[in-house]
Amino acid sequence: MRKIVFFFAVIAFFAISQKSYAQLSDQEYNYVTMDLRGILNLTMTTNPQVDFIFKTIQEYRLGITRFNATKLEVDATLAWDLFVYANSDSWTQVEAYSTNGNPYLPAEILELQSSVTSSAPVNINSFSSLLGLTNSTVSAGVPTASTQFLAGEFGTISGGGSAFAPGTAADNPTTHKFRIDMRLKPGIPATFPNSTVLLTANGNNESYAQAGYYYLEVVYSLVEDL
Amino acid sequence: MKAIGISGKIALLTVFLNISIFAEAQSVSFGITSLSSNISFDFNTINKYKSGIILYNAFELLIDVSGTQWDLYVGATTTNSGYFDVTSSYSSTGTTPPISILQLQFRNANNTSLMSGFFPITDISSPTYIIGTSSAPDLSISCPNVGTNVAGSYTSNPGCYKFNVDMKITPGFTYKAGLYTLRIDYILVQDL
Repeated sequence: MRKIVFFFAVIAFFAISQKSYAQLSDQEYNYVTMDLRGILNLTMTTNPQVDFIFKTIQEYRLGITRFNATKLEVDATLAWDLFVYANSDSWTQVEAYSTNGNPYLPAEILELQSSVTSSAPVNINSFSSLLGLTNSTVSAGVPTASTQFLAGEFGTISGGGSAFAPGTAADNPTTHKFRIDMRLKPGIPATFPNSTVLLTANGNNESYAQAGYYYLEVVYSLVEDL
Repeated sequence: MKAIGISGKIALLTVFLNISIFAEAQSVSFGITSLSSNISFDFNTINKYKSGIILYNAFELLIDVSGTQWDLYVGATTTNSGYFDVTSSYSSTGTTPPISILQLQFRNANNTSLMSGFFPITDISSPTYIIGTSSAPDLSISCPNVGTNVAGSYTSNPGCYKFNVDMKITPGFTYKAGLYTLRIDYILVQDL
């Protein structure tokens, strides 16, 4: 009899023991995916066409300066660089008004100045000749250390270069908003003395510009830190 | 067997009662039901980076507890504790985002969650309690009070036992572009 009682007592003990240590639980899982895309937005907030019309002697002599001719805004989620170059080595002549003078106007007669200071060795922190396509050394849209940078420079941050930080133009107006001043100063005769490339560079010995209608395409390129 | 005395009968009764109680404990049921398990945040515009993305009712917790008090807590599980798991990177600059940029909000009709509003998620090793605390037993709180932890079911009382989970991420511009993942663990446990 005592064995039976002992047997049931042992069962009771284990029953109590199991009840004390069994903490029930349940769990559910959520799998969350976050896709942070790389975004680079370059916006030109001004008219893309900038006109310089030289119709007086004074304008020829003193030149024409267009302050804030172009305004650029950068919104980026990546570290970025901004560089500029001309899409050709020279201006394209649409129409000639004269039979004398040199129709070859190098891209460098156009001077640019940026409102944002760049630490790049080649820059447009003050009025500087815009480098033509060849002189800019930009090849297939890829710059080099000799390219004019408005922000950042050639080389990644980890590689010793520099770049501007991600952010929006609205939140970072001093670094993500660019005001580009442009200047053309032909002089009389129209030799464009400030140009780093002479008009005679193309083999035409005429040292002054032929009167006419010209255009040049300026390229602003925003890229991830290179 | 006829020879079983008073002490034997008491012992048998004790065993019976214990088995009965044990059987009742085993009937305690827990249940969390989700409507969906994969949540995706796709940051493909500057505005989304800046303003963030909020997914309302991203997840639904349906709780069914009988016979006991309960706790509910939540946390994130990642390989590198405290940071998102990196599936792929699109850039060489920036840092891996911490899990704390993911914020959760638990809502129900009676606002019984102990965490009001959005709160940043923490690692599962130091979870955030939605109901109850890490110590036990907690004071018994009945529906519809904040922190309701008594037995109940979403079927009969969704105002206290059904939670809609909202999620929000506002990454800003500090983190490395890439595809990231993490797992959120919702744990319902008996308050012992």
